[in-house]
Amino acid sequence: MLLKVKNIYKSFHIGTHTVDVLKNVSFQVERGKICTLLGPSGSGKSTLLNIIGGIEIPDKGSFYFNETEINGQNEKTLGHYRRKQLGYVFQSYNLIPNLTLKENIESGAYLSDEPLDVNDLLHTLGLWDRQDQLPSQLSGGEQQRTAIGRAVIKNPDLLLCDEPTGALDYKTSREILAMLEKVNQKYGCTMMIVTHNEAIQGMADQIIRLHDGAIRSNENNRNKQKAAAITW
Amino acid sequence: MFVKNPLNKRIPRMLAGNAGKFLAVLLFLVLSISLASGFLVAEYSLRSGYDSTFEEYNIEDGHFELLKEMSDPLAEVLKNEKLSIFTLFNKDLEIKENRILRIYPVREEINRIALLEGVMPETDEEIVLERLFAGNNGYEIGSKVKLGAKAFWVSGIVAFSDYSSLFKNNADGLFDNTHFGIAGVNQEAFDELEYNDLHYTYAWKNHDPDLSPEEKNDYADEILDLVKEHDLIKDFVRRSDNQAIHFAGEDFGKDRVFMMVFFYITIVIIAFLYVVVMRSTIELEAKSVGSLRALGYTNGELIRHYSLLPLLVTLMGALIGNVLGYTLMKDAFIYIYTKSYSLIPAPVLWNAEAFVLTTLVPVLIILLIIYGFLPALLSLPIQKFLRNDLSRRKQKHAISLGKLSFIARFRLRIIFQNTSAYLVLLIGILLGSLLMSTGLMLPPLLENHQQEVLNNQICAYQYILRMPVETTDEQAEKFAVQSLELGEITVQVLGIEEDSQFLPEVSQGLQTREAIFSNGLTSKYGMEEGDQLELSKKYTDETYSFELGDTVYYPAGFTIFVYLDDFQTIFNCDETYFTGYFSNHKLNDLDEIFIASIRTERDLTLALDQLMDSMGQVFKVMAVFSVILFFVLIYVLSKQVVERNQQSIAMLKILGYENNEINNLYHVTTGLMVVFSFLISIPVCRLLLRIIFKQIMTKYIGWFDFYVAPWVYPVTIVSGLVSYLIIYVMQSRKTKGLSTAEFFKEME
Ligand SMILES: Nc1ncnc2c1ncn2[C@@H]1O[C@H](COP(=O)(O)OP(=O)(O)OP(=O)(O)O)[C@@H](O)[C@H]1O
Ligand SMILES: [Mg+2]
Repeated sequence: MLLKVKNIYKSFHIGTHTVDVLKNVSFQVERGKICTLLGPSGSGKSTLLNIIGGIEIPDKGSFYFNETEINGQNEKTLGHYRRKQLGYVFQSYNLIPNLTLKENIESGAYLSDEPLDVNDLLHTLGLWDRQDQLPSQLSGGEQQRTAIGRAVIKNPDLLLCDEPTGALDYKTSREILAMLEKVNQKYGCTMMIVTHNEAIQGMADQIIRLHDGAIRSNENNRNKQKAAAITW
Repeated sequence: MFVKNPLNKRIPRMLAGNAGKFLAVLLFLVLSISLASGFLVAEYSLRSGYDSTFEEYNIEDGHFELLKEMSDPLAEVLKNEKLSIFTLFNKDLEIKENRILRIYPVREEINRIALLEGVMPETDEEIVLERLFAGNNGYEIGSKVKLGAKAFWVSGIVAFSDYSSLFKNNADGLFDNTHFGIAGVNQEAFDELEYNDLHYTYAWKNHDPDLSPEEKNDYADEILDLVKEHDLIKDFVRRSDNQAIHFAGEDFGKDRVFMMVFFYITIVIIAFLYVVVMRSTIELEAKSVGSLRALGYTNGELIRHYSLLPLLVTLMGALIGNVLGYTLMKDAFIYIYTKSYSLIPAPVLWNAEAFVLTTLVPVLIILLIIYGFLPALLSLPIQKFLRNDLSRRKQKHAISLGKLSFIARFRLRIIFQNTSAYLVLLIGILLGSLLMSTGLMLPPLLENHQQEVLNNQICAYQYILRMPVETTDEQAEKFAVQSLELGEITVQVLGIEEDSQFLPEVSQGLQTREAIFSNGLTSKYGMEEGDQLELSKKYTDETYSFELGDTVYYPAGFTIFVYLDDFQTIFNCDETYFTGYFSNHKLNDLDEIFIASIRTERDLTLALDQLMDSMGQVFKVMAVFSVILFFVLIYVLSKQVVERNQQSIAMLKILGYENNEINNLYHVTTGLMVVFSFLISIPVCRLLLRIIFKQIMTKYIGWFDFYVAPWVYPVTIVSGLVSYLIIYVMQSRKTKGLSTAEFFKEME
C-alpha cells in the first residue's frame, strides 16, 4: 500500500462554534492506482487532501506513506515529503504571479531529481504558444493546466489533484484526463483526484465517496475505462 | 471628509499590518526632522543671542595697543563727541607650563563680562575665569590659581563678550582654549600683579550705533592716523577685523546649505518609500479595490483612503521631530558650538523659518509626491484591478530571459517586479554612502593634511622679528614675509635667499623677477603658467601683481615665493630689510625684545586640531545617520518585497521548497541588489565627492588636497552590508515561521 489513512478526525473552530469536517476517515490506496474522491461541496474533500498533502494536521488519527507515518512529523520532514513524493494541484491554481507560465512549471521541475521534459509537457498541456505569458494574462483553464503541469513535471509518486477539471470546458477536460492517465501509465504515479464530476470515476481504479466528513463508500472500479472513452 | 468613509474603519488594521514599516519610516522621519530643526533652531538662537551681545554687552568698535601709556596730546585729540575711549590694560601670565592667562581688571563699561556661575571678584584674592579655559584645565569655583607669587580663588566662571573665540593675537590663524584663557580680577589685584609685559590697550566705541560699515571704517582710519601721529603703536584692530569677536559668528550655520540639501533628499526618499509601500498595499488588495470601484467608490475616496496613513505618520513625525528638535537636538548642536566658543547663553527662540524649512516644506514635498503618484495608480481601468494586473502597459509580455538558470530567471523576475522599490534602494544607498563617506573621509583628510604640512615644513623655528637684527648663528637663514589679501583669503609672499638651504627646491627653481606659487593657490584658482594674480595690501589701495612661474607643493598655506632681493624691490624696502630667520634650532643670541613671535610645529597644526574638535561631532552624527538610513531603507524595502510575494512564498513552501531555497530566491535577491547598489554608488560617490569637495574648497579660505583614506569606502560598504545581514536574519526567521496552514486561511 502506498497510502494508508487511519481514523482521521479534523474540526475547525470559528469562535465558539465548532465544525467537524472529517469524522473517522480511513482508507488505503495501492501504488500506481488512480483514486477519485467524490462528494458534495463542503463534504471535506479539500481538507482531506490537505491532510494527505502534509499541509494540514489532523486532530486525531494517522496516515502512512510507503509505510512511514507522516502526520506528527516536523515541518522539515513534511517539506521533504512534499518536495520529493508529492505533486499538488490546487482548486485555486495558486500560480506565482510574476513568473511566466513556463517558469511556473519549471518551479516544480526544480524540485525533482528526474523531472519530465518541460517542452514536451507544454505541448501535451496545449500551452506551448502561451509559455511566455504571465498568469494574469491567462484564462482560468490555462492557469489550471499550468498548475497541473507544475505538479506533474516533478514526476511525483503521489499526485493530489483538487478539481483538476473544475474550470475547464468539456474538450479540455478530456484532454487533461487523458494526460493524467498517460502520466499514470508511463510513470506509475499514484493519483488522488477530487472531483464533483461523477463521470470521471469511470477512469479510476478506486472510488471513494465522502459525505458530511465521513466515508460513505469505498470500492474498486470493476469496469475501468480509458480516459478517451469517458463522456458526459 | 475622512470620517464618513466606512473604508477608513480598517485603518487601524492596516496600521497593525504594516506596523514595522510605518514605525521604521516614522523613526527615520523623526530623526531627520529633529536633526534639521535642532540644527536650525540652535543656529538661530546662537546667532540672535550673539548678535544681541554687541549692544547688551557694549562691545567695542575697535582697539589699539600702545608701547606705553597714552600721551596727553593723544588723549586730547581723541576726546571728541563722536566716540569714547576706554582703557583695557591687560597682562599675559604663564600660570603653568604652556598655559597662558590674559588678565583684565573687571570692566563694567566696555566689553562687559557675562557671569555664568558664581560671583564676580569682590576681594583682591578672587578671580573669575573664562569657561572653556577653566573647563579644559580643571578649574572650578573654589579652585586655587597662582598668578606669579600670589594665590587667587576662583569665585566665578564667565564669558567675555569680546572673546567668543579665544584668539591670543588677532594675527593668529587659530585659537586654542586649552593653552590660552582670559581672567578677570579687581583693579587692586590687577595693579599688584607681577608681570613682564603690560599691554597698554585702549578700546573705542562710536557714539552713533547706526553707522554704516564704511563710516565705521573711516572713523577707524582717522583714529589710526591720530594715534600714529602722536604715539608709538603696537597693534590696531577694528572690530570688523577682530577674530576673537567675529570668528564664532561666522561659524554659525556654516554647514547649513549642506545640511538642508541632505535633509531634503532624505525627505524625498521617505516620500518614495511611502509610494512603494502604498503601491504594494493597493496591489495586494487589487481585487477589492477593483470591486470597490465597480461598486461606485470614486477615485478621490480611494486616494484619500490610501493616503491617510502616510499622512498621519508624516504629521506625527513632524510633531515629534519638532519637539525633539527644540529640546534634545538643539542642545546637542549648541553643545557642539559651546565646546569651541566661549558663548554667552541665549534663550531658545521659536523660529518661524526653521518651522517652515523643516516641517512645512518637507510635509508638502511628501504630500506632493504621494498625491502625484496615487491618482495615476488608482486610475487604471477596473478590469486591471480585478485581474490583479496593475502594470501600466497595455499588453505586457514578460521579458524573455533566454537560457539562464531557473534560479537566475526567478531572481530577475523578482527584480523586474520590484523595480521601483529597488530604484529607491539604489538612490537611498547612494545618498547614504555619500553622507557616510563624507563623514568618514574628513577626519583622515585633515590628519593627512596635517602630516603633509609637517612633512613639508620649512624649518623647526620660524623667527619673526620686530626689526631686522643680525644673528651670529651661521645656520640661520634670513627671509622676509608680507601678507596680502585676495578677497577673503590671505596670501603670504615669502622672500627667500637665492641659495636657500631650507627651501632648496624652490630657490633652485626660481629665477630673478619670477614667482613660484604654492599648489593650493594654483589649484584653487585653476591657474596656469603665465597667469597673473593681483593681490592687495589690507587697509591700503596698494596692489601687487604676481605672474605664475611655477608651482611647488607646499600645503601649509597660500604662499608665493620670490627671491629676497625681488621682495625688497616689490615692497619698496631697503636692501638690508628682512623679517626673520628660518632655523632648525633655537637662536640663543637674539634678544627677546626683538622677537615678535616664533612659529613652531604646533602653530602649524593647531588650526586643524581645532577644526577637528569643532567638526568631529558632526562627522559622527553623519556616519550614524547614514547607518540608520541604510537600515531603514533595506528594512522597509525588503519587507516590502517579501510581503508582496507572501502568497508565492507560502506556495513555494507547500510545493516543498526549503527555507534556505526560499531565502536564496527572495532575500538573497534583495541582498544582491544591495551589493549592486553599493557597486554603483561607490564610483558615483567618489566622483560627486571630488566635485563637491572642489566646490567647497574654492569657497573656503584655505586649501586641502582631496584625500580619501583607503578604509573609507570599505567601511561604508561593510556597514551597509551588516545592516542587510541583520535584516536578512530577521526576514528569514519570519519565512521559517510562516505556516502553510495559515496560508490557506488567507486564500479565498
Ligand atoms: N481553515 C478553515 N477554517 C474553518 N473552516 C474551514 C476551513 N477549511 C475548511 N473549512 C470548512 O470545512 C468544510 C469542508 O471544507 P472543504 O474545503 O474540505 O470542502 P470541499 O469538500 O472541498 O468543498 P468544495 O467541493 O466546495 O471544494 C467546509 O464547511 C468549510 O467551511
Ligand atoms: Mg474543495
